[in-house]
Amino acid sequence: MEKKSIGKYIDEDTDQQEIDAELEDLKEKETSQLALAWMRFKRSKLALIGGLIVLVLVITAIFAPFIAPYDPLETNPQRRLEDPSSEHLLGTDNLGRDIFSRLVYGTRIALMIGVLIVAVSGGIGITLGVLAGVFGGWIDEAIMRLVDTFLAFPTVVMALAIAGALGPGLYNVIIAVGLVVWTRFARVTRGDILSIKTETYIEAAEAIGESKISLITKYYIPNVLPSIVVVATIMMPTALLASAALTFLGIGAQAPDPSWGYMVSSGRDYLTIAPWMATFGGASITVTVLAFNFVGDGLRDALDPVRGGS
Amino acid sequence: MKIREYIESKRARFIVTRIVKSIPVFFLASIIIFLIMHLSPGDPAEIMLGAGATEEAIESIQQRLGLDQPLYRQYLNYMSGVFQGDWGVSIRYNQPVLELIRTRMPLTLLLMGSGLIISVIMGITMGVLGALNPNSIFDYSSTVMALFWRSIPSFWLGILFLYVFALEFGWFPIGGWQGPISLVLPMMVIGLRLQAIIARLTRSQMLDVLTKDYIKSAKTKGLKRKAVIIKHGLRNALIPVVTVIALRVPWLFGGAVITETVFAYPGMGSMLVRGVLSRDFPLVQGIVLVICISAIIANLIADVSYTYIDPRIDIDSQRKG
Amino acid sequence: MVEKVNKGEPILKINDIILDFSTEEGTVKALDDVSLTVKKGEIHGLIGETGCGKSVTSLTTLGLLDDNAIIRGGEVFYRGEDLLEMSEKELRKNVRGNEISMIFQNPSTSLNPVYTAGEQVKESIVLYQSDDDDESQRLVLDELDRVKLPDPEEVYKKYPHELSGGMMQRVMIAMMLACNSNLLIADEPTTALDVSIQAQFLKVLEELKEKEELSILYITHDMAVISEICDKVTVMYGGQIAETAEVHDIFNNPRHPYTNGLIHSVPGVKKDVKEFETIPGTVPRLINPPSGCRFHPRCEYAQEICKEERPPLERIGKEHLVACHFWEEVE
Repeated sequence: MEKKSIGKYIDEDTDQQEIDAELEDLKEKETSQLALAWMRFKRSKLALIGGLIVLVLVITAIFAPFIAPYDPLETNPQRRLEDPSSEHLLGTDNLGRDIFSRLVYGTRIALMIGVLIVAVSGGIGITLGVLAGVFGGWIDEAIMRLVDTFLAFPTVVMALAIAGALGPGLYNVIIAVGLVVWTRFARVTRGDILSIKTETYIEAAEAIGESKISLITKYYIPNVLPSIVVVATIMMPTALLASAALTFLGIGAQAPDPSWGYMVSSGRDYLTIAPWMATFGGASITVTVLAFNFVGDGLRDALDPVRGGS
Repeated sequence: MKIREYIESKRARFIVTRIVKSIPVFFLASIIIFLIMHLSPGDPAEIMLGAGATEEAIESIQQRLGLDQPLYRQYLNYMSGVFQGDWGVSIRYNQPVLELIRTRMPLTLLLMGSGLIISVIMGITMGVLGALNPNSIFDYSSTVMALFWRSIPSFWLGILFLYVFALEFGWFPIGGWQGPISLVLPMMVIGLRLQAIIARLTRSQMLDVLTKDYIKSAKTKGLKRKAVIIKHGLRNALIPVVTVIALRVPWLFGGAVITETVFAYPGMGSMLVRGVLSRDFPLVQGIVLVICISAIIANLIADVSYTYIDPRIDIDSQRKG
Repeated sequence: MVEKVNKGEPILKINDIILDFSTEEGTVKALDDVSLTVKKGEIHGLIGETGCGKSVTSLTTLGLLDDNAIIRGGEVFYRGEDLLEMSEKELRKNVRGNEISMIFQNPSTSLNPVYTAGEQVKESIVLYQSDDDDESQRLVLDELDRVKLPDPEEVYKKYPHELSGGMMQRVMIAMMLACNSNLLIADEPTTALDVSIQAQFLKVLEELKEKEELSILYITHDMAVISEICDKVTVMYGGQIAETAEVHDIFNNPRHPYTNGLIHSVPGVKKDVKEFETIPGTVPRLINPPSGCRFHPRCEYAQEICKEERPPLERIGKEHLVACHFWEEVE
């Protein structure tokens, strides 16, 4: 009986084809790492909803003058504390100002505060993180001690103290919170740098004689960027809540600026007669923070799916 | 027995080392706080007394508080005073800062403590239930709810509670201290938020632990479901959770500051806010210092307790052995 | 459990199990009509390369599969009852531990890191031997001694990470033997042990088989161990059963090409093999397994029919079963 072999592996040529196919496969897989992450992000419905809300908020902030029916600062003593109506969608506050318009303009303040706080804390944190990671040694030790100390401070308490010392005002709140929360940026930056510091291409570049500055700009910073983006997104809720709390407590944006925190604090006295003053202000904060939390969670799960998110 | 003794002494040495390491952190913190208080623009004496103060008044305050001396001198004076029990005098209340703190701190600690207990009970329960029924309707909705609790501003939640339960329903007092019942609403505000964080962490840890091989071993032995989940599963899952909770204790101060203000709860937090608003620097400095000391102690306890609950930790290097 | 089984009668009958795992990348067809019978008082070896489904088969028996496992058909009869029909609660109460226990492959992950070795063995003792505090402590030391652990009192107090791989493996063995079950499934129980300890462990198993009629399903990829203690052997490949026979038949008269290849690839097992040959090719991935007989791509006897029709497991001798279209031609 003639035996015809049909085994795949016995034929030499077939082997080579198999290997080529596998190589092609691998190449495709590597380039689509980012695409995979994007796919995973898209899968999270919450993250998409969050992203949508953030988009709406940004648009509201940019086009505030076109969306708000009234001037947010225009007082109208005749029409104080009115219920929501067709004329005033969300009612009026204790000085007769349209609440809806104030909320709309408040979006500008909120987003600006958030972005600036992230910028300030990011600036400080990334700089210190890069210094610690790149130079190591006692610089690293000193900076890490500093990080440990600041981590011991509760955010609100420290920001309160700083803002209290600086005096009331919007920008003082931004500086105050920024000075406290930079530690998250520092740690992540330093960690990322340390993890690639021992890679051969860094050693090769150093051997060639590339300066530290060039190393930083060419290799370290691009490597750190993805984590920075994630941390920035996660910091927005913290920034918004902290600044709103400070504003509520009396520091921060002062009257008559239409900041949401201020609306809640001034609405507090009128809870029994006109609860919507405080209600809508707080609701806006909640929705904004929620949106950023959705996005932040989605980002974290997308880039690190092992974490057992739902 | 010999081995146990050795580990005990190793741990004792670790505790001592850890305490020693905290000391520079304490001093660094005190310097930072000191600098903050003195970085306000303008003359501190003028600020404290407010506009329209006379030259004499300003000068007398400056002398009294030693504000005319170089900064490092002031710091050293202050710190030596701290160690001797003299933390300055509150401008607003005209009483020793330490005394004021001593009277108000217990109430704040009570609030923080009860908030912590309630959040731990709720959080761990929700986390475990979520992990045992992953991706069920219960799990999904509790995850979304947890996100919600993390996003709602504490002061707004407090106001809502105040409005609904105290003003409308009248079940709770509107403010002040009327006995333990005044504790309930602020405690819930603090607790609900922390509970969300604990629940999320517990859930993800449990899910991870339940896939481990030793859970299979435990099941194979024929152990009851409760024993497998709690004795084998939770005991492992809670290790990082306990650490996170311990590290979050300082955060509770922030929550206390806000809720005490909303509910006019007579604790250290509301006093801090009033101190900040009235530019009462000695008082603010004192309270913030106390809070930082508490935070440092909390971190210390967290590190030490970690060596007790995870036998894999090599005490010397604090790395997994 | 209902039926009383006598020595020599089947105590575990796995019939035609078809099992899939649903994963992100597709469906893994892990088990394809797997059948196996263990008799009371018998040491039954289960051999095959990594990934062929040996561990999966044992996990199926005790209902310890992951949630993404789908059993599409088959039964697992233990003393007359189908374990696959039992609820989790019934399995826990009546089967796991007291009737069937299992030694897992990886001792370092199979022991709970936060409890000492002694505490973990004591758990078994308290459940199945004695719940008196002092007595159970003593019994734990006995069990630790039985697996030849040096200085049982010291080992009792140690945590798993403080023990060597071999010691951890022995602790796990002690932990499971302490359950006094009727059937022991041992999944690669001696990989971390050196040869002398392994020999001692095998002796312990043989003693248990003689004195207490313990039935053992011994999973391994080590032919030498099989030849030493097994009465009967089942060979698995790619999620399918290739051959089942008494141990001397497997070595002297293998009827499946894969079994044949295995025997010839291990030096020293068969005395008259001058050189050892490796089986060309690699183990198939079970997401897209070869059709028909899953060994056909690597088989030198394969024909078209092997690709199209899976050979049934037929009885070719009193205790000899093989699944191959051309079993007669294997030499």
